[in-house]
Amino acid sequence: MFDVISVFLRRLFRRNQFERELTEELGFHLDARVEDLVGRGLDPKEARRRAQIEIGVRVAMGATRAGILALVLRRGAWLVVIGVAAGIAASYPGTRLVRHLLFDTVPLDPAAYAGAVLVLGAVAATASLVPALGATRVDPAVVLRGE
Amino acid sequence: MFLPGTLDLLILKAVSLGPKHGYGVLLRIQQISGDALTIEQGALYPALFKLEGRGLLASEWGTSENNRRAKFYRLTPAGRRRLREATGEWDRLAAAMTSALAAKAEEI
Repeated sequence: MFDVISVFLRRLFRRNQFERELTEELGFHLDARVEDLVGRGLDPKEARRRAQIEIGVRVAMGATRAGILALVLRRGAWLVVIGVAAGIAASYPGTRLVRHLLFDTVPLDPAAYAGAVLVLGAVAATASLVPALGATRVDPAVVLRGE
Repeated sequence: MFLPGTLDLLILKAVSLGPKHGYGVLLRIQQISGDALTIEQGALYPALFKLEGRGLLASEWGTSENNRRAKFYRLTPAGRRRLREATGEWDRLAAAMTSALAAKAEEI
């Protein structure tokens, strides 16, 4: 669970770094593959062309926009579920502290709970939609060429 | 060419034999399968990405054999558990297929 949250946060807040790392990782792969192909007697230029085709085709075809969107949003949804559960659990003892401050409402007012969950849920949905849409716009061809 | 989940299982197995960068995972899968299985390079990174996201792999930057910065993957405890379960599932499936395909008319 900790791993999942840390990966999610890393992608959310350090997206530039994440993209740079992905570029570097694929660049390392390309160079290693080129070295292997050259070692097997291929001309360096031809080796690089072939290595790029080998890795590029499936990266471009393998992940659909909707698939990436769902992946990022699902992570966000998980965090929201955890947050809502923790919030409700924590707010129940909290109501006792404010009981005497409340006017015309009961401490465990279902409408107030539902309203808070809906409003904050909408905020969370927006917050995870923005990086998710960004992730769908990463062009694999640009990632591959940008070395 | 692969059954669903087989690529994940092969990656977990390859990484369980010692931390590896992505290209090393490819080479190791080829090696431990006696060159019978070749992973499509473009399919590898989405799979690594997904396994790390699910907490089965962890990664860190290190130095490769040829002295370059490379991202190394290793199994998390959850990954090790998943590898054990998936290996058991695979063994049962393989045994069932073998027995089904070896069936003769007079035994039924």
